[in-house]
Amino acid sequence: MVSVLNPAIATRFADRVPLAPRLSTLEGKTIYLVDTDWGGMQQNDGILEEIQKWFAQNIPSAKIIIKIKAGNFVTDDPGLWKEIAGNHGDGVVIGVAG
Amino acid sequence: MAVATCSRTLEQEYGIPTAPVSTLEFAAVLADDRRFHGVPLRFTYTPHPVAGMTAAVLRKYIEGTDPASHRSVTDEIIEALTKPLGEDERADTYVPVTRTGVRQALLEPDTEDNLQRLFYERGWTDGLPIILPTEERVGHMLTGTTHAPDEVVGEIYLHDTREHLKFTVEMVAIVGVMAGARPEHLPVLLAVASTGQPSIPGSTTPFATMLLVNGPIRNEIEMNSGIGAFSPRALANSVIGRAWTLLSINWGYFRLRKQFWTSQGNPIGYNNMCVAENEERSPWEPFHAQKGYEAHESAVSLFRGWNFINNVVGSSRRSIGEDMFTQLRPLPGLFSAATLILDPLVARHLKHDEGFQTKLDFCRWLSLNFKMPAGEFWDNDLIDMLMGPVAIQGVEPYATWKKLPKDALIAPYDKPENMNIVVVGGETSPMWKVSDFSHTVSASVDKWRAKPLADGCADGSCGLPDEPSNGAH
Repeated sequence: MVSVLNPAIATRFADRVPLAPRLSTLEGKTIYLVDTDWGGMQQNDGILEEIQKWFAQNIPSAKIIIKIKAGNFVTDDPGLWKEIAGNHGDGVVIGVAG
Repeated sequence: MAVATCSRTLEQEYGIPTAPVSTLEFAAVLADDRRFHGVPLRFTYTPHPVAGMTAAVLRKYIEGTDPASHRSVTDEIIEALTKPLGEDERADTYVPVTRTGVRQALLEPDTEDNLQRLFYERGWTDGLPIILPTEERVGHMLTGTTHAPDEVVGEIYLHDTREHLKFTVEMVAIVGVMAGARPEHLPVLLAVASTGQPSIPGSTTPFATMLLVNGPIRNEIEMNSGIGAFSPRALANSVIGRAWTLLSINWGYFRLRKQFWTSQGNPIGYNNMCVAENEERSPWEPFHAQKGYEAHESAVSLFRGWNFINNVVGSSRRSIGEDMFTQLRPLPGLFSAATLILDPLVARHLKHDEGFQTKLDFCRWLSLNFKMPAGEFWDNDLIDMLMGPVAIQGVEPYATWKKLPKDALIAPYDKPENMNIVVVGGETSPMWKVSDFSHTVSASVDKWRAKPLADGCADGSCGLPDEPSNGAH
């Protein structure tokens, strides 16, 4: 029988925080469709354009604004988040990776 | 994870409800994202992939069902924004959870075969057999440093689980034993570990890494920087490189579809091109001296990229620099990142026959003289993904390059200081390798050393066992 040391490393989980309050309806709301620029400049926002078309047909009173996040897919874009908040963006559909 | 991170920022910092969308491929990691971040993001999934799909296919995705829940994609998006928060989602009912992992220092005693299987099944190895880290072996390994076993070497942060992870000298020693390392290798392993950099970063791309050792310790621990230095031959190169991967595994970077995403992988990961620079045969200052260390100090330098292209003839009528153009052309040239590995024959020719007095002199020449059409540059997917946004933001010279006609020539390696040269090889032929690797960090080895070892390695080919002179095998 052999006795060996454990190579696994103990970890500490970070604290958790809750979600933001939800909207009562999307009618008349400003919804941003934000592309995280996952696939690069030449193939971005195609799927968001399809979502935009769906909103135009099904919830036409919603104001839909497409935005591409600055930087690449792993960088933050605080300027865009402030712009969305400042322009009274009510909700954000964000994607897409893969 | 990028989608989840942005979504969390909007939810938590701006109070804006979000409907994050991803492909099914990432469902598992996003389930963990909910578990570990505590923000139960309301993800909607589409089929995978979306990259490169036509508008017609994307429309089907949006008008179809979420392959995870089998519910309408658009219904889920609307619900993500409008469905009232459940008990586990509201601020007034939410109970933050903080947990501390408890590590069992010793595993239950078992047979060697069973423990080999246990280590493999728990995902603690690279699939190859390991040296089992008994207390005696780990204790012997710890003689390679004067630092206390419980001293913290470094800390990393795992984005997927939001875990803060500290690792000690003893933990690095355990992994060193597993990799087959010896006590004299431990200072190099501690230096690598102190950077907190994994050998295989979490990416769907085939990232690879290189581990370079400079300074006196190279020869003291018999690292090979000469003949066949990148081949699986010298013990020190093999086990130090392997140990970096085993460290990364035990830091959590090989958890499938959580941190380990590389679609095809990269065989370089078996030992991460662990090598020493052939300082004795190089005409230029060693790499670590370019990064602020004294030549008599020992240091590790880590590199990261995707591709290496070998020159295999070295006898064309072109100059070596012009020959390199053909190898630089298919590489992305991402912010001028390039690492050239030159045999000492090549390095000395460049200095003595072509007049490049320093490594940087040659990099400047390449920077000025290598040109390619702007259209070809931007057609590279990696350039498009990572530099396109920078050009759009107006950063020069990329903004100007973006506006040029496709056939206009640009010099894509505009930052010669981002190009690296390392001299490695045994001078059997004037060979070189060209890569898109960038230098990420260097770290002191001397900080972790116990004592200097014996010196002496004239041509860089240290530690290579040779055939016995009596012909026995």
